[in-house]
Amino acid sequence: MLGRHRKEASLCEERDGRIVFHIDMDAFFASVEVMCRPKLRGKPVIVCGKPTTRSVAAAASYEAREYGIRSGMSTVECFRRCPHVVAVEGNPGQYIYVSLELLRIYKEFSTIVEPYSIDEAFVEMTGTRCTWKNCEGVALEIKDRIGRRFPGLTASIGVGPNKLVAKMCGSMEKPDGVTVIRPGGFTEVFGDRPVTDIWGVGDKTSLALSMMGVDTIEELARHPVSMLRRRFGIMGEILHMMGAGRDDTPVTPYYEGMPVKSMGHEHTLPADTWDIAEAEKVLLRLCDQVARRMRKKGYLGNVISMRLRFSDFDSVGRQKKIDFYTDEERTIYKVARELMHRHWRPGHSIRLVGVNCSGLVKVPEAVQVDLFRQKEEVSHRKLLAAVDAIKDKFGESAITRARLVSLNRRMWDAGRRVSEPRFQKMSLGSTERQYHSIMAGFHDNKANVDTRPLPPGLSSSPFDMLRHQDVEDKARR
Amino acid sequence: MTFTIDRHELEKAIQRVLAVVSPKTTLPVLANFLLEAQEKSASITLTATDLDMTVTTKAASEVESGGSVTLPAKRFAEIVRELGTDTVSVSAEGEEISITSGKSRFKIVGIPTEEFPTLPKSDPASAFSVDASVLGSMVEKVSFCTSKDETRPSLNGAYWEFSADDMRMTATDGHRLATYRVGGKYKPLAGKSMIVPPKALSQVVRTISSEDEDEVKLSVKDNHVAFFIGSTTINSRLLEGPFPNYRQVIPTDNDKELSVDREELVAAVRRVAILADAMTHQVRLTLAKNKVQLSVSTPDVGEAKEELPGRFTSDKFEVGYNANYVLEVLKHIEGDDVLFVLGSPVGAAIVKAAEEAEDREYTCLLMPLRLSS
Repeated sequence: MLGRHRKEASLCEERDGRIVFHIDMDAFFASVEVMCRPKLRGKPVIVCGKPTTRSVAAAASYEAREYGIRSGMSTVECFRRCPHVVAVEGNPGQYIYVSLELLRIYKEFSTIVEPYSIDEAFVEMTGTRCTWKNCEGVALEIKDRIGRRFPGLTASIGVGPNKLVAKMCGSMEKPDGVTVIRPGGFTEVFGDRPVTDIWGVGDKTSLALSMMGVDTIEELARHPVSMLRRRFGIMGEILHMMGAGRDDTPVTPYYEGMPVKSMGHEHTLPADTWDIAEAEKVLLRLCDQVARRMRKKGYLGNVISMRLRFSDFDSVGRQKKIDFYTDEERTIYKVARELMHRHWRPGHSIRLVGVNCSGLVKVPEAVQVDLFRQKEEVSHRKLLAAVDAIKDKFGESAITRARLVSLNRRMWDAGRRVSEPRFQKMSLGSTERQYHSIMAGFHDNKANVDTRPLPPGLSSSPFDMLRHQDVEDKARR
Repeated sequence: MTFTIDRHELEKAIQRVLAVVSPKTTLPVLANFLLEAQEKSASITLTATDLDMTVTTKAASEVESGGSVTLPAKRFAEIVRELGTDTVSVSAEGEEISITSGKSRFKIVGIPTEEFPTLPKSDPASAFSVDASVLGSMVEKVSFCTSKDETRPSLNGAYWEFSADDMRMTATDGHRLATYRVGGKYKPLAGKSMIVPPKALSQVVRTISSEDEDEVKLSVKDNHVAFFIGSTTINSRLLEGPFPNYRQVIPTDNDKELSVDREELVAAVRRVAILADAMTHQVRLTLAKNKVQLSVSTPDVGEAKEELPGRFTSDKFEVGYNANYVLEVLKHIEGDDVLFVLGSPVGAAIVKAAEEAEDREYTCLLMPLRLSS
């Protein structure tokens, strides 16, 4: 599939030249918050986790950036730089909702849309009504559509003959800008810039390049490809192309490309814990979630990994390959728990627990029957099917293990102390992951969730959150 | 410690113990051999261990002065293999070992002997003798069924049990099972049973062929088993049970029988399995009165079908198996014809040779794949 795209793309390039848009939302999380709370307009705003807890700014409005605040900065540091900054707790469901809506807008302009992250997307405009003559106008039209659907949200659009150039020029005029670089115009604009300005070239590569006497993008383009190949292998050729602003990677719509490689969940505990039994409960809940997601999507996996982060932010991640494929939480839990016990450092309190299942394959048509577990397996599958059906109908927390009741209650309580709705409990870090996990559904229009009001206290899947958000939105209006 | 030894003898001795040395060890000394020279018996002893299994072997040599040393196993083996002469002299001073052969000289550094783990003691005097060829074929026919699934540790070995007039070895991974019974006089061990790791069993089979012995002496003590084969002793930790009640899962009410030429079936399964699903290796058997149809249909890959003659005692019957499991089982069954005794399409099938020797009984069970349509 990718190959076909690449071929088509290069054919188009030869004929009339490809046109790719890179659309990047400006201060996305912060802008969404300001849109929802107009009182905040014009004020320095940061979006973070619970303001009372240790957290970092996930996004900062342009007003806040004037004070030197950047995303990734701790809230304490943000307040030090700007004492009157408004810290808003992140609202993942809201961002996912807006992001999905934005993709719908882009799809009005082209059928080939690749969501690159929650606030960025590539749009292949080749073969649409957009040409090099009117591309600026089309970009303004997209911005206008975004502004009308979500007042106050702005985007910066980069237009280039490929993804690399579009992405690089998109960031030239932020916020609210449109930058066009036509075929052949790359070196003129970027030639004198350092190689680190190339999308995907980091400190290590630039250091290695610098030792070869390559500092600017133009120097990279002129450097003999054979020498680059000798130093970087296959990456050398890619670097050489990048230096000249050439890139033939296709814009890959989500539903076609990127097969799912792994499924996992992580959870930052409400408070660090020394109690491994407590961490085990969280692990079990995560295993339940991962296994359910795998069953829902029809995958089996055979590599199970576990991650622990300790209070000093030191992390340990270990994985184990098992001899068979599974989508059952009991197996995932058994392996993950063993890994957790082996790699837990007694005396270190645990901050985060994560579990992940990879080595995924689609559920085969035939299932191997077991000599000793045949009856038990059949009844266990029935149990899982029943639990899944209940969760599908009544929400993720409609049914839980007796062992996890206390854990869930504690977490619900922690959620209730904050006046905002339940979905705020989720950490901001997981937003992107959830977003990706529902993307496939979006393209099948599965994310068109029904908007019946939920019984209070029932929601934890991204789908539920969207539904919840819709209800919230209506209430607000 | 100084001794001189025939290079071929030394190489043979090294080959008998080398398999125990694992390439990745947490304890550095486990990558070493323990080499001991005894003046009195004019022999050297080589020992290797991975903590679960220990192999010790003896070789005759001219010992000038006795002593012991540990030395890097893989390097020592390579050096001895590459030497061009017939005799090798080894001497050690502290941890420094010199190997001299013709005009070649090597010096390698070992690890103090005290760091080598203490080994379980076993006494061949109290051991019971078992026919080596019987044991060899038993292991070969059974151990391929042991499980590698670490979540079911008791299935990771072969279950070996004795009664007064027979011994039986059984292994299963939950998807297939092999059990082999041999008649004989086993009174001293009657009532004993143990789960032996497959690594130890394969080491036993290898040693039997390299020592060219007719007899294996066996002693079981606590959670260890010791095999004495010629000049080599293999001592292995046993796996903890209980082994599942396999007798309960051997079906007694299967009423359909299929008899088919074994070699023809193997060839046909191998052919159609080329197109089988890479994960399930599913091959579908459709049985009718006088024929067996094998078929494979894998989306995105293709389809294959083959028919062969066979005698089936019932009407149309359809069942799916993992082709690899079928092939492995058929490989170990002897005789021209193979017999499948079948019950339901989701129940176990008994697979055995159509004709068997009187005091031997070899039975395999095959669990099917549940077919979706």
